[in-house]
Amino acid sequence: MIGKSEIIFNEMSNIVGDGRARNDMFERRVYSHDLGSFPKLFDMMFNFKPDCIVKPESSDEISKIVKFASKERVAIIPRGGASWGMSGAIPIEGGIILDMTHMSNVLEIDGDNLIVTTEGGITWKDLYEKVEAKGYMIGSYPSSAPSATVAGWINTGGIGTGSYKYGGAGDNIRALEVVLPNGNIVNTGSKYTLQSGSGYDLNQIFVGAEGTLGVITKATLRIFPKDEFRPLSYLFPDLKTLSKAVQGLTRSDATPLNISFADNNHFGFLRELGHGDAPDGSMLNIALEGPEELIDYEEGVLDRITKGAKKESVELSMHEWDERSYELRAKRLGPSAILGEAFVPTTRMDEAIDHIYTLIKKMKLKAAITGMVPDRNSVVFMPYYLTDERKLIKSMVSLGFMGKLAGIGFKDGGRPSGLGLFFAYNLKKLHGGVAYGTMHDLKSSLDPCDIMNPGKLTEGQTRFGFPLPGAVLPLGMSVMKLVKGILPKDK
Amino acid sequence: MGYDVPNIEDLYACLSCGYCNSVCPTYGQVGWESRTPRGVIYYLKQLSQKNVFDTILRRGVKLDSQSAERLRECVFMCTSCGMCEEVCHVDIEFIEFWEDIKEWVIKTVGKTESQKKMYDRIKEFKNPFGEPAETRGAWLPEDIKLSETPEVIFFGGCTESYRMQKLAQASVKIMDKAGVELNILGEKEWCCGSPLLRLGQGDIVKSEFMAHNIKMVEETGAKTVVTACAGCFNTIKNDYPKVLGKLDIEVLHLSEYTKRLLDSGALKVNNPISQKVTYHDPCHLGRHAKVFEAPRDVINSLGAELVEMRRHGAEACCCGSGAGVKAAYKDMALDIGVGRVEEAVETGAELIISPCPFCVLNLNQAAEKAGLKIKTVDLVQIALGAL
Ligand SMILES: Cc1cc2nc3c(=O)[nH]c(=O)nc-3n(C[C@H](O)[C@H](O)[C@H](O)COP(=O)(O)OP(=O)(O)OC[C@H]3O[C@@H](n4cnc5c(N)ncnc54)[C@H](O)[C@@H]3O)c2cc1C
Ligand code: SF4
Ligand code: SF4
Repeated sequence: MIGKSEIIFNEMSNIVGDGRARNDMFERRVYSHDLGSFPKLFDMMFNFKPDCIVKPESSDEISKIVKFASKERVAIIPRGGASWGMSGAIPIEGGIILDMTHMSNVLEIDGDNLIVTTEGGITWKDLYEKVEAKGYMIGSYPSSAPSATVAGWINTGGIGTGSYKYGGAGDNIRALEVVLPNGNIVNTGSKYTLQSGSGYDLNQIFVGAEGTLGVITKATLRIFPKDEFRPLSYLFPDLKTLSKAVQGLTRSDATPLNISFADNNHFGFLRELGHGDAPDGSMLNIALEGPEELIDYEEGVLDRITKGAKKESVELSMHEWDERSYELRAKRLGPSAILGEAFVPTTRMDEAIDHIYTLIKKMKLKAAITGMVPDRNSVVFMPYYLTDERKLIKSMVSLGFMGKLAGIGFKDGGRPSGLGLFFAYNLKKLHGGVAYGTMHDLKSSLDPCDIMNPGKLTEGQTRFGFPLPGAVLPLGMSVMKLVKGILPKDK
Repeated sequence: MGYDVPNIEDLYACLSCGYCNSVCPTYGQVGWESRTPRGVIYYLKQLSQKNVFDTILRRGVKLDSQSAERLRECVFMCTSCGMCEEVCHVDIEFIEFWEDIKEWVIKTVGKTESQKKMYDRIKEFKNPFGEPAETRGAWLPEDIKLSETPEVIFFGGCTESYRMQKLAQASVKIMDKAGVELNILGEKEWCCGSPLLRLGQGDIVKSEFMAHNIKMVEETGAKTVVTACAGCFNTIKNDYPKVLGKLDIEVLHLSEYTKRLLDSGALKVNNPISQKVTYHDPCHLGRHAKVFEAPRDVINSLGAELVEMRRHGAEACCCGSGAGVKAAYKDMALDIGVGRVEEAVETGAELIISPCPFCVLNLNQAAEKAGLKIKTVDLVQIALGAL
């Protein structure tokens, strides 16, 4: 008898032809994961393996694929660089993975109008290099730019390098081309001008949609004239003293391109890895961008605000900037690492630092804190903890850390960030019941058959169709946290 | 229990960030996650794992014949270029990593027919072409005086000895011009072992070939080995000591030696070249052996105007032909080469210079395939004309 995977594969081969679809077990397995790794136990609840993987090359092909999927009730999972830690790009009940990384052409760099139009599967690094070669720059991009795709970042609604000055994934979009769950291809914005006036802002519906509303195939983004650039690094005795400087900085008239930080533990891990020259302290990294006079002025402001801290050399500051995509070098020490993320208001940065360190201590973790300041009002903490997934209990406990961290976000007046498969149940808490209902309605009306990345965002569902109950996962996490508390300290 | 896969710590350390995917030249051609360092690592990690639950649930990854075939294909498509090592988030030393994995795949899945043939030929004839040992030194020009008490042994290597004799000839002519006391090993020279080491079949290289070649050099009394082949150079310089311990002889690539001869005044540039040229770093010489400056210094001394490609030095893209890929996946090797030649054309250079016979051959064939006029020449040829 010919199986589901085979039927889908044959259909896909008809649509895309020439070897751009695969369904052998080897391929299905290597596409059954992304950066977020689930404890193996979850294999029982989900079917992470796609039935078929397709490399589309045009919106029309995707439209045909989507129409087939909607007729046959097959899940579509758009996948970019698969670099997101929340398992957003993996199936929960099989289906078709669209590997979007082959739609990676830059279609137009229009310097006169300061816009770039690109296919959505290009990596941010490739895009900014191409834009830079023409004398312009991209406002902001995720620090995972070497692998993260344009459409992937938009779908996670992230913040990243450059966000302090140029905003997050949604802030530089002029227009998108999206294949909707019914196969229609929509253009969401206005290529040359900003979105304002009558009409829903369709651009923004797709920001943070986690692939649940459609497949982004093209994006027109704002670009900026390239100017002078200067990275600066300041070393503080600890994160709490660094926090004071961040408070001052966010209330000053300096507007750096980027502000990020890492604590003493992070650099301790780097030394443990053999980077003997890693500093002893907590580092505030700031990138300034603009005309020379402005940069000089802002550097003066920074020097005043960070008084008492050690200002690092030009070389070291440049090194820190060059390392901006390598925040997780220490993972090797685990060799597994669990990453968390929580947004808090700048005004409560100090409290959050205390809470995270307390959590780390209570759970006896080998952990470090890194983070960013995406705008004047928000700080995002990205702590990571080193563990060993081969040790079953230790690794199960890991989810407890992520759950509790999300809790800290809420407690300190903020929130967790991406949800993906891990935290889908948190959506209601994150936005409130009415907003959640509205999002749910939006999803149902655009995707009535629930074929677009099912199980993510608006409902966590297991392969047996049971909803992933909002209570069970957090409960499990609390239990794990308890277990971890009883175990000996990680070495 | 799961499979006994090597480099377990690396498999677990991998973050799955995917930085390696975007630089991998073979992924650039194949375009499937199965042909990425991240994908292979994930698969191998799954193979290595099997816990109690898997046994109870009869899950876990089994290497059925189709998957085994695909695994072997994906692993052996790797050119061992080392570009993934350059960008890896958790510092996996991929050049060695891939050798271990290839060896394990051969042990677990078996050799392909052509891998087996290559192994047998090298074992029997001491070269991958199955040529007789007696003709190994036949390329030597008659007018080159060999020294009974040489300072330098020129190691020809299989490709230059049997297939690209002009390069070997140019190499000794350059040294002869400088009055170097020189000799070759001739029929006593065996394959350096690179083709077997890079393909995970290095056992006889480690047990016989390395010691043999070094012994032959030592018997001549020479203190220096010079070779114009990037592959031989990297193998003798970096792989031999791993097995034999620190060598008592100095191993130099001809580009380094030529620079030395130019610096000391033993060589003079008589007919400077005035072309605009670009330089392609061979993986074995650049990323693997960290020789980036010497060949560039030589090119500058020759008078040429050197312009760099977008990716150069440690980031230089592979020509596409390494680790037996040219033989096993010819089209893919050429297509990678086409990308590299196009990058060279973008610089506006009239000529590509590279000090590796494999790069030279593949880039020229790639240019032909793509209908591009630019030629690639070996550094020794262009140097000989100018000196
Ligand atoms: C070292 C490191 C640093 C990071 N730094 C940052 C950072 O600074 N800021 C940040 O926000 N994140 C960061 N991340 C997380 C991650 O890299 C980003 O979220 C990234 O933007 C995801 O892009 P991707 O192409 O890998 O998406 P994927 O992981 O492939 O997918 C993410 C989500 O988008 C959906 N999707 C992908 N492509 C499409 C498409 N074409 N149409 C519709 N839906 C689609 C997927 O279904 C999934 O739900 C980092 C990760 C790592 C490993
Ligand atoms: S060595 Fe080169 S070809 Fe092999 S996996 Fe790494 S980047 Fe790809
Ligand atoms: S760059 Fe290194 S850590 Fe990242 S996916 Fe590749 S092998 Fe893994």
